[in-house]
Amino acid sequence: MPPAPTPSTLAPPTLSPLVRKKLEERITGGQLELPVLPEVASQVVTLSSDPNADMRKMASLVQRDQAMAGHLMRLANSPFYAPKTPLVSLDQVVSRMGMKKVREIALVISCQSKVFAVPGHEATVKKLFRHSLAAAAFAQEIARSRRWNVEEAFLCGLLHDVGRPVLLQELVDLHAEANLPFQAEAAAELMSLRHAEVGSTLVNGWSLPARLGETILHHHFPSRSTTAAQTAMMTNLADDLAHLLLEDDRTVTEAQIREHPMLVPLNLYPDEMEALLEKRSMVLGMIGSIA
Amino acid sequence: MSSDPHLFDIAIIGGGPAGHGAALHAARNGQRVLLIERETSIGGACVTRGTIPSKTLRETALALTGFRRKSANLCPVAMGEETQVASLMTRLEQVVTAHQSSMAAQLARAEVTRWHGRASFKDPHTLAVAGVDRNIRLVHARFVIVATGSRPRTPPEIPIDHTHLLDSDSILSMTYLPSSLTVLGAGVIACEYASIFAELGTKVTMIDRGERPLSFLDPELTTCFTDALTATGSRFLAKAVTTKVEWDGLGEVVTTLADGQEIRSEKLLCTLGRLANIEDLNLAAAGLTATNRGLLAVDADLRTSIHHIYGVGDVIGPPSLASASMDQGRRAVCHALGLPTGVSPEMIPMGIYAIPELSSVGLSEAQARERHGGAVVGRAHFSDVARGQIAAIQDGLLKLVTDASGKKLLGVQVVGEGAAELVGIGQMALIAGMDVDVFIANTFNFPTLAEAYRLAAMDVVFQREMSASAKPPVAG
Repeated sequence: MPPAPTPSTLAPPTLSPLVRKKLEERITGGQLELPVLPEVASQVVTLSSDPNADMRKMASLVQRDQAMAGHLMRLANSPFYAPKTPLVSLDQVVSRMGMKKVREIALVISCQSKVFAVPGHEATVKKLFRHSLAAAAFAQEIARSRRWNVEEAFLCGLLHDVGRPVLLQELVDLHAEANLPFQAEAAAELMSLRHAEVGSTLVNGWSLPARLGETILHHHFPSRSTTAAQTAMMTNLADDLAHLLLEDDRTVTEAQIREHPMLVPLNLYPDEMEALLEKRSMVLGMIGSIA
Repeated sequence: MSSDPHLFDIAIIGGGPAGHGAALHAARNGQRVLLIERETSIGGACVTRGTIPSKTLRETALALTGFRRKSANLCPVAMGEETQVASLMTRLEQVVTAHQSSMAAQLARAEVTRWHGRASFKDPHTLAVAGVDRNIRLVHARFVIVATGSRPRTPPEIPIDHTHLLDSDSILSMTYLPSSLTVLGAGVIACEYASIFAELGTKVTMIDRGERPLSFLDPELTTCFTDALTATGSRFLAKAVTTKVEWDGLGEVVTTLADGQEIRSEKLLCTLGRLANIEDLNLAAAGLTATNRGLLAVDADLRTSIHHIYGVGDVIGPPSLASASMDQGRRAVCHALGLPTGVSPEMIPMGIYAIPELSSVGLSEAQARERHGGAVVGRAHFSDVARGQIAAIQDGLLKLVTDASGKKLLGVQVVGEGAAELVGIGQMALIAGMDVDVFIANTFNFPTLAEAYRLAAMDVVFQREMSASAKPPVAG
C-alpha cells in the first residue's frame, strides 16, 4: 500500500515560498475561499432537513435553477436510478424520488458542476470526480455488506476528497496573483497533505451531518477519529478500491487490497473482500452513467 | 497455519447467548474452554443487531409515548418525518458496549480463552479457525458445542438491498424514520419492529399468510397486540399472499398481493424466517449433515448424531429466543459433563418485546385443555389494578391457567407493559409446583401490577367455588 499522506503544516519545498505562506495563512486563519453550494443546492439541503417541507416546495425550488433542473431530470432517468417508466416532469421526479434522494443528486450535481470545476484543469477535476463517484459506490457496497447505512456511505465516498479541487482552485488563484507559473507536482503534493482538513471544513460549512465532516477529516487515519472511526475506515478502504479500479495517480494493486489494513478492523473476511472486488464492473457502469 | 493443534476440553463455536452461557458453565465446572467468535466482539446478533438494539429503540418509543399518555398530553410530543433513527438510539452504543464488556469480563473471570475467527471442522474433534487476517489455527477438543446462531432468510423473490428493502440486520441502519413501512411476516421480530415503528408514528402495514400474528401464542394476547397496532393507524393484513415486491427505482417499495392489491411504502422490512449459520462449518468433516430445513439436528439432550458434538441456540431452530439459547448452552455442558440439568425447558418463559409487551410461561389455555382434559382460566385486566390506572397502563391482561380442578397452576400469560418482568412471579410459582391459591394467601406490594396475580387467582377460585356449588349433593 502506498504510504498515506502525513499531515503537516509545511507545504512541500518546491512550492513558491510566497504561495506556500499565503495558502498556509488562509488555511490556518480560516480564510480559505470555500465554494459555497450553489444557492439552489444549499436550499435543497436545508429544505430536505425541514420536517414541514413538502414536495411541491422542493420541485419549485429546483425549477429555479435551470442547470440543476436539467441535471436532475437527466440523472433521475439515468440507468443508475433506473426508473421503471420515464419521468417527464420535475414534480414527478421530486415526488417519486423523495427529499433525501433529491438532496443526494443535488450534491452530486453541485460537486460536478461547481465544486469540481477549475478552469484550465478540467482533466484533473474530471479524474477527481470519477474517483469520488467510484469511492461512493464502493463505500455503499461495504456498508451493505456490514449492514450499515448505505445512503450515508454514498455521501462519505462522494465527498471524501472534496478538499482537493478546492485546494487546486486556491493554488491556481495564488499562482496567478503572484504571477508565477503553476507548479502542478508541488500542488498535487500539497493537496494530498491538506485535502482532508479542507474538505471537512467545507462540508461542515454546508450544514451536512457532523459525522460526515469527521469521516472526511480522518479518512486517511481512521483510528484518530473518536466519533466516526467506523465510517472513516469504510471510506479509507473505498478510497483505495476506487484507486485500484480507475488506475489513477495512486497505484494500488489487487494484492495490496487483499492485505488492506482496514480489513481486520472492518472484520471483512477474504471471501467478503472478493465479493467487493467483483463489484468493479458495476461501479464502472455507474460512473459511466453519471460522469 | 500452525501444525500442532491447541488442546481444550470444550470448544464452543459462536459467542452469542447460547455460546456464552455454555462457556461460563463449562469453565465454572473446571473445564478448559475455548470460545470462537467470527465477529470482533462477543454477544452475537442478540447484542449487535437484534435484541439489545431493538429494545433500546423500543424504550425510546415508550418513553416518548408514555410521556404523552402519563402527562395527559400536557406537553404534546411529536416526531417529524426527518427524525433520525440514530437519534432515537443515542444510548445504543453505550448499552451495547456495557453489555459486551460485562459479557467479556465474565468470560475473563472464568478464564475462558477467546479466539476471533471462523471455525470449520477438520475432523470430529479438530477445528480450523481462520482469522480475518488469513491466519489459521487448529484446535482439538473433547467436546464441541456449535452455537453459530442464525441470520435473516432472504427469499429469492424479495430483492433485499439494505437500502429500501431491509432485513432485521439492516433495519436499524436507516438514517431517518420512514413515513411508511411494510413488514412481511408475523413472527416475533416482525411484531416487535412493526409495533415499535407504529408507536413512533410510522404507518405500518404487516402482511402475513396466517390469520393472526404470533400464532404460537394465546389468541387473547395476540388480539391485544393487533388492537394496539390498529389504534396507532397501522394495520395487519391477515391471510395475504405476497406475489411480488420491488423498489420502483425511485421513492417507493411496491408490494403486490395475490388479490391484486398494491401496498406502497417508503421502506420494507422482510422478516420471513431465519437461516442457521452452518455453511462455514464443514459439517461433513465431522460426519454431520444439516436437516432439510438447514438446521443442525439434535436430540433431547442437545447432542448431534456425533455424540460429543452439541448444537444449541438458533442453529437448532425454534424457539430461537435468547433466554432459551442461554439455557440450552448450560444444559449441553451439563449433559457433556454428566451433571444434572435442572429445570425442564418448558419452564423457560417467552418474552416478546412488542408494544404492548407479551410474555408466557408454562401451558397456554389450549395446551392445558388438551393435556389435562380441561382448564380453569382466571383473568385480571390492568385497568382493574390500581397501578395500571396510576401508570396509565390500562390495556394489559394477565391470565392464570390451572388444571380442571382450578387448583394446580399450569401456565401464565401476560400482555401489557412490564409483561416480561411480571411473568417471572408466575414462573417461580410454576417451578415450585404451587397451587393458584398462593397468590391470594400472600400479599404483594401495593400498588403494583403484581396485584393482577391476586385478582386473576380470585377469578379462578370464584369459578372453582361456583363449579363446586353447582354440583349435586352426594347421596347418603
